[in-house]
Amino acid sequence: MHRRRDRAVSAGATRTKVTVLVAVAGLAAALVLTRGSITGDLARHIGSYALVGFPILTTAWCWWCAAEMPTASMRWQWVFFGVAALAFGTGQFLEEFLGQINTGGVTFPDTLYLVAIATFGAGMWKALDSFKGFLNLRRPMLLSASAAGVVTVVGVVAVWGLFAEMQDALVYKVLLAVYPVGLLWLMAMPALALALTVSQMGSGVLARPWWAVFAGVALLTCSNVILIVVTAQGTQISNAGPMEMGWWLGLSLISLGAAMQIDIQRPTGSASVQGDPR
Amino acid sequence: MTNLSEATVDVLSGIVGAVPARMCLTAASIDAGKSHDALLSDDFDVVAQRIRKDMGRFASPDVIEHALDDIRSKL
Repeated sequence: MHRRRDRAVSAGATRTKVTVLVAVAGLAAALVLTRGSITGDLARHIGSYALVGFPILTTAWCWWCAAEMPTASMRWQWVFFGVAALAFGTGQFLEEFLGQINTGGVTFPDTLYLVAIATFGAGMWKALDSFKGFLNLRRPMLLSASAAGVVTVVGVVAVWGLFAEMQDALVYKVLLAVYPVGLLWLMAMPALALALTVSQMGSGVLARPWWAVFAGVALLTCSNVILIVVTAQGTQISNAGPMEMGWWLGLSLISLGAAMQIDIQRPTGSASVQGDPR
Repeated sequence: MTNLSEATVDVLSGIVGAVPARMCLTAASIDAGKSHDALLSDDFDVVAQRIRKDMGRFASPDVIEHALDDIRSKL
């Protein structure tokens, strides 16, 4: 009995350690690439494989976590995160390996990225829903919606003149606006609401996976903002820069959240519940 | 040996934080029709039921039962 428990504790520790190791390896690779220590085709290949590999790992961790969760209220958020990472990874695969490079128009990968944004958001709404009745959700939602509203108004005022000058069709302008607006309202806003909600738990051990998820989603959002800016400026996009580093690390943090969630929610000794780092 | 209120807040604080832990205890004391300090070991089942109900949507039965074991062991 004790041996079985020890083995399970050790497996739990391994899960989190492996995830941290992958995240650190990803970060190290990204730093090497962005410092220009590796250049040319090798750098491009590493970047391409990482952009597809990290989403696949995140999908695997999230769906594993979903399978381990005992109730539907704890499961669906991880299913959605897995779907989001898969949509993102598929979009990256199409761009990197099948040559569907984003040329400013709306391509199939663009649609997949919108699906990823929406499903990340759906996952965070499901996570928020699981805290209903225990934590205060109203104030975090009002605060995050207000913040998103202010950013939307500022953004509209900032780009209104630019949009008016554009000679493109109205439908194209609408599609151009969908990505940043979707990013703000479907991903950043629920992420902020989740962080504000989870902050009510302070140092409680059950909050930890959600801090990792929030940090991951925040990094993904920052990388997407960089993407929007460089696309608007028409700058050449590399596949091993700060933007990609944000995606790698962001996805790794979500994977870490999934690993922590399994470890914490399936305690085989009281250590995990008491917050003893394993 | 600590009383039920202290033990509950002590254990739950490590899991969900101090403020939600106290709110959960308040709800449990209302269920029992007593004030926090008047909760006795005999009220453990009422507190346990409240914890299971409040935390059941985001905490696994393993986590909840471990927490209840910890509370029981402190009484």
